[in-house]
Amino acid sequence: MPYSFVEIEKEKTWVISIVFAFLMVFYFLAAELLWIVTRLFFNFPSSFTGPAGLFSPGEFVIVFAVALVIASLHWYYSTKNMISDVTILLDARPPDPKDTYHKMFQNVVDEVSVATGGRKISCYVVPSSGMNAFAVSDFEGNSAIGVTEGLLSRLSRSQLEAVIGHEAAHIASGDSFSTTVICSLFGIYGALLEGINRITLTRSGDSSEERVSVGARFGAYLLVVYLVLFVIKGANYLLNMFISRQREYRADAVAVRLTRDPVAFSEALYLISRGWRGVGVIPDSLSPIFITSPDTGGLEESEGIFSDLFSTHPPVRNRLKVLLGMAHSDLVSLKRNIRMPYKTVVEEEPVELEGLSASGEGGQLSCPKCGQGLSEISYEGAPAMKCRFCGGVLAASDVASRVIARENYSFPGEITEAAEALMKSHWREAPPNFFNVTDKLPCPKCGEAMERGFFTYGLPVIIDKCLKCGNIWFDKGELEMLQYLIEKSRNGEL
Amino acid sequence: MVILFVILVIVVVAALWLIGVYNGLVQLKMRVKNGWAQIDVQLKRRHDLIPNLVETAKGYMKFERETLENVIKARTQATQATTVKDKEGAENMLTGALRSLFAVAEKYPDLKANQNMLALQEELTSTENKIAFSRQYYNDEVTRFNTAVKTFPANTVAPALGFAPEEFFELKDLAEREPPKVSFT
Repeated sequence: MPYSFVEIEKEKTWVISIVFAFLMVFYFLAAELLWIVTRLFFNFPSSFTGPAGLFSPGEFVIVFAVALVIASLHWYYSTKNMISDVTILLDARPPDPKDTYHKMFQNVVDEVSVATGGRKISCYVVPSSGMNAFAVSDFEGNSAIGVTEGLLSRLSRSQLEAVIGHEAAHIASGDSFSTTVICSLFGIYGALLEGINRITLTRSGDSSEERVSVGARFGAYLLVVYLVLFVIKGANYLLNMFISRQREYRADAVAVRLTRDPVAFSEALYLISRGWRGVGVIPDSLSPIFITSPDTGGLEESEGIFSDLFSTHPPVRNRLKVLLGMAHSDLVSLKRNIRMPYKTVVEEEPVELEGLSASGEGGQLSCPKCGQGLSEISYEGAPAMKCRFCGGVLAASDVASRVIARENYSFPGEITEAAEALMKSHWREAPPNFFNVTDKLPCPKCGEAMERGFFTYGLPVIIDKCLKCGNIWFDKGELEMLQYLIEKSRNGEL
Repeated sequence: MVILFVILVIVVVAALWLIGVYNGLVQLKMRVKNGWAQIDVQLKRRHDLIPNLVETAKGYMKFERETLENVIKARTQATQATTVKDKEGAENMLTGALRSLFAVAEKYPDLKANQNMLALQEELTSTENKIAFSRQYYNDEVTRFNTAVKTFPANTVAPALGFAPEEFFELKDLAEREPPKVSFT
């Protein structure tokens, strides 16, 4: 097997360019085919003095030009705001420089960008506890890499580096770019097909008079066009899936070229494939941008001709085989050597951020419970405020969701016992009435009365949330209990 | 007449080939230069981080004057180096000095837990990685350039056009070369 990363990269690039070129030709041939069908049905006189018959070079040029213009326009408009569209859809945010995990992520992206020769790449974090990463680039050549919070907390630095290398490879080899080209080219045929579907479907529901008025000839025409479009779309779909899988193999190889660390990459891939990789609800069309398919369905991982034809990503098993071949290693020793990230006991008295708390803002906020000053802390890497007196913690809502996605703290006995006791209490049958809370706490940031409620509907942890500025107040131990319970429910132990 | 025409064709083809070779080599050389510029940026960044690091460590490591002074000395030497060979040596020294500083820092739990120190350590790790990656990129580009300069037929004209093979930039880990110390106590 030709398994050095340089050879794989060459081989896959060759395959991808051939299929890509074929798809481009296919697009224009399809346009010509549609035109010929149209002319046959309506007996348009051929306005060019070409050889008699179906095909005339002059018309072909015109059809070619029209198809080109339509495709470019469609492509331009669909990719114009690609990055912001994707990030909004996934609720991805730029990294917070005060957060140690985010800082590390930003650094790793910068490092990999150096390895590519200085390409500018912006970063995003998706506040999800699943493990996945994606890459997009847009019309103007801007590119972005996004990772989930779960990935940041559960991978080591070198594993993260390898994953970012894979995503940077997609950007550097133009995968993100050519994917959008193909999608927009054949998106037009897809849209036509949809259009015909809509016409015929509404008509069959209507009275028959309308159908007669269209004419049998037009009906037959629609049928033929429908069939042609259907074949085009199907063929395009299969080729697209094929290209997408080849790209994954190539990006894996380029990731190794960039980071020279096939072992860390196989570890990362293994961990990601073992964990939950969902990122929330995303449309199917976006799935090729992720490192492993976000679908949790079995298709992507099963083997055989059928699943090979219909999936965007090759089975992780095959990718691992290639990578481990480069490292002269195998799956058994990978599993043996893989080290899960350490869990440290939650810090009772988290350290103060000397250099970073210079904002001066910190001293002015005071605890809503006891009125003491809040001090800035780093809770599981994220910036939060803590009252040293009563032990309560104030966190912005995005910080809270970040902390909950992370699993690097373990909890002392009193926290876990309290949490278990809380779960056993009758909170489900007799939930507290949150509508007439008399002792609402004031928000330390803006002074507004905070609303009391469950953090999520499934768990009995009660928090106070400011609806105005989004800050959440956790009484002593509540954040820890919440983390503990959510972690447990993620592992299916609740 | 025919001979003249043939000669003309040969001359034109040769000229086109020469232009192609020249432009190709210039392009490769620019990439090498770009790679070098990147290394320089990252090395400078490391030099800039060190005073902060020493300042933070000083308060905790009262009895490790020598280690700190070594780092400062290595940094000064590295900032003064100009040629590729000099830089190689000085940066290797600096890497070694930093490594022993972090090894000594392990003995001071207060220093290890200091958020400033942690942040600086992350920055330095990142910078070290960037140096490694930019060196990798530079050396890859030098390999491509040197291959192009040295392979036939371009090697017949490359020296005349002013292209000479470039030097690699090697940052050898000093610790790797020392034999491992084994003790049975």
